[in-house]
Amino acid sequence: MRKLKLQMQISVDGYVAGPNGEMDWMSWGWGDDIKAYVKDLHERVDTIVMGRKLAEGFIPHWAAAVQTPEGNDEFSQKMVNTPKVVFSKTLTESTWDNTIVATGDLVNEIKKLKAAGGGDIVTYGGAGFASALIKAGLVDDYHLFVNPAAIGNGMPIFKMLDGKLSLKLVKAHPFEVGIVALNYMQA
Amino acid sequence: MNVTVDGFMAAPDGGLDWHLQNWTTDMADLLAQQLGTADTILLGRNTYSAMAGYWPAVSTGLSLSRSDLAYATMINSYQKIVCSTTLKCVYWANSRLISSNIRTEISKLKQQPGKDIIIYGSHKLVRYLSKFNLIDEYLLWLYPVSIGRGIALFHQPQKLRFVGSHILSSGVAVLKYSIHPD
Repeated sequence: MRKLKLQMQISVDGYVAGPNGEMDWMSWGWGDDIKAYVKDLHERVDTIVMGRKLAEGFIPHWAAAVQTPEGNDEFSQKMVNTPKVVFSKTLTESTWDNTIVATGDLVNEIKKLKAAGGGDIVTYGGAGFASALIKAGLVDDYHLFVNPAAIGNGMPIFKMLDGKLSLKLVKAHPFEVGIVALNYMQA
Repeated sequence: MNVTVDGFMAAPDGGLDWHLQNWTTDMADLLAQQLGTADTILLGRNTYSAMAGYWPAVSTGLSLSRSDLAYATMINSYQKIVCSTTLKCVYWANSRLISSNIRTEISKLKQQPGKDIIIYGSHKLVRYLSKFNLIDEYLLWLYPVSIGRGIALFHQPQKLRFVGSHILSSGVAVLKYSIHPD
């Protein structure tokens, strides 16, 4: 079965965004080490799933990036060219390239996607979408990019669970930029 | 400091049932190594009470592994400063109580020559000290577990600088951060 990988930036205190979606606490200026890690993570990925809110920023961002000389690299092209499934309760059809909109039950749709043949599936969130996937136990592989900042308050991803979720640490990779990627599997 | 992957030091009721039941040798070794960089332990009332009810007794027992015993010897002999406005006195060997002017007393303590000062647990004390920028470094033992809600370690934004990491065989990722100079 295809794996569902979750790759998200997270603060040292467990938030994936500030209370109003703030992202200013994230460390950028990525070196080759973290770029190689992300490239490797995407090697077997052929589908991106995401929530509608994230899609509205994400898809136009990469579409614009490939139009500029400095932004048109292999990774941007991959983000544009990889088929995407956007989950929404409000949209009915996609206005984006390489994207379909899924309006059905999230758990059923993801289970169907995972059961279908193909490479792995990746998600980058957002917070609400990731929370729902985690609650339903659908994430096989976590890649949490722990940033060197606490933000004190914000959007969590493990809060929708009623209790404890035990994970198994596969690997931890510290990067030059100060981010540590923690790779967990379901325990 | 033991924290969950979602940033909590304890369950809402202070519960620590997510801590590992079985300590591995590498955990005990690292704990002793980290304590070795300090000569003073700073504790709030709750953490003091839990530790003072355990370590003095176990150091006389024979049931501990060699690395646990080494740690027990260290912790019993170290200077311990207990910050509490309710405790009347402290009995654990080499303990001293600070019940007023905690901020000033800790600032003075930091000025003194010697090794570093380490805090275990003590979430109220940590919150108080971080508010006054008295914490220089965070040694986070990130457990491979989320608990959804609980007592948070951080209550305000804090820019950090990543210093280093260490992975334990139990799946705990030990991340070391210093306060960012900005």
